[in-house]
Amino acid sequence: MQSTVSRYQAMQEQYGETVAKPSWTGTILAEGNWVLDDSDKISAPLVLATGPITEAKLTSAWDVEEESGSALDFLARVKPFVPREVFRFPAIPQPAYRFRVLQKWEGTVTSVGDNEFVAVIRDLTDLSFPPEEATFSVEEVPEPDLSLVFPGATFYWNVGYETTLSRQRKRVSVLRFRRLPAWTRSDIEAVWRTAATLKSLFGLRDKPTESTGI
Amino acid sequence: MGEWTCEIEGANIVLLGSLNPSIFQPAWLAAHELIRKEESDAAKIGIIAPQIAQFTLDWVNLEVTEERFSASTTDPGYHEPLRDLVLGIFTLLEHTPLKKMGINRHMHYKIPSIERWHAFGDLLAPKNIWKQVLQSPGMASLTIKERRIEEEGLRTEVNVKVEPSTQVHPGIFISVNNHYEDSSTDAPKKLMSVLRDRWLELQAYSVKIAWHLLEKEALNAEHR
Repeated sequence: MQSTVSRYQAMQEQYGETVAKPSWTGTILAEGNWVLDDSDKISAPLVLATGPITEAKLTSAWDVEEESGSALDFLARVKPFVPREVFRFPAIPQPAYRFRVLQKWEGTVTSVGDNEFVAVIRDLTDLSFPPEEATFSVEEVPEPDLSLVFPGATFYWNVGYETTLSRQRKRVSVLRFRRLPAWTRSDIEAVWRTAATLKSLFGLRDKPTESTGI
Repeated sequence: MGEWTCEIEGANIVLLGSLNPSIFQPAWLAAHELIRKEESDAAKIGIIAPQIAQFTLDWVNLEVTEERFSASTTDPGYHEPLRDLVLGIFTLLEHTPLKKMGINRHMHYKIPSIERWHAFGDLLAPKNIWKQVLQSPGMASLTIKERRIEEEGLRTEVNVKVEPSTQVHPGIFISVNNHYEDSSTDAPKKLMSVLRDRWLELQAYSVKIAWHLLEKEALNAEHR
């Protein structure tokens, strides 16, 4: 089964230096360009080749111990093809900080005043807790999110410790408003179809009739 | 979690299908208001090409090839925005043929002592039979898989990996891969429904698995 594990875990996984390399699959995308993607070993970097792959270049691209025949074996498995050069897929940058969550909430704005807004917040660290009401200063909202503050808007509130690469630790409180696209046309059409179905199911008419209730 | 601290944790979403990497650019995300314009302006772009796209924002790393999409964050405060970002992208690209999805969580826990670190490895992978043929064997990696088939043909699989942590010492790395796949034409809708409706539940489930293992370690330490 093709794996859906992210290669982001590459910083955890390491190749043994003398482990035999797994077989590689290559996809010829276009003459002069190809991508090597070993889906079975998630820690393998992707390589976009835009030039000739010589044995020496392939070895240096992977930074592994030289294994006789490995690059040639690989080349023999793909179509006869000579790209122009090989370069390593960009490494995933190390995070600039670590964040340890103390508490996380999801909030829904209920009203907005001049300098503050009121929201109902739900504890995401323990979903069994009942929702609560809280008041926030607009000053706490990042400027790019100010246009998203309106009744009904959803936001996330995280409190925790941020530790930088220099090991400076600080306690932080972060608000971020949710961004989702507007409904797509097919969503709207689906709603209309459902409404039409329900309408015919319940025998609803366009004009109201006199009530015959009790 | 008592004497254990989760020093590093992250989440990622992986989607397999047929994709057009050149669409996935910070400017495109900002134009559709899925991220802030400021985040797009500050993006670190690794590569944008017809076959591959990779870039990093403050809080998320995106990688896309013609068959694979991956969005990752190591900031647990951004787990839900990560979900929202992927939902937003594939709501806009609703006709993208997707077949498989991984909703993944990885955690690095610091363990109180080296002795308990070794004992945890012995608990998960007893060394008796290995000591008969190897000198000082140690557990480098253990993966346990659970397969189940859910309703309406959505196949699922849970893969749990445990390893000594390379980031925290002494520490344990626990990774949970919640894998979903569907081969019908409705697969993209089904997968996005799982992502939208079950994200919190799956994240909590992944943490529950980790705590279960750590609780066993703590019990083991008490009785030794």
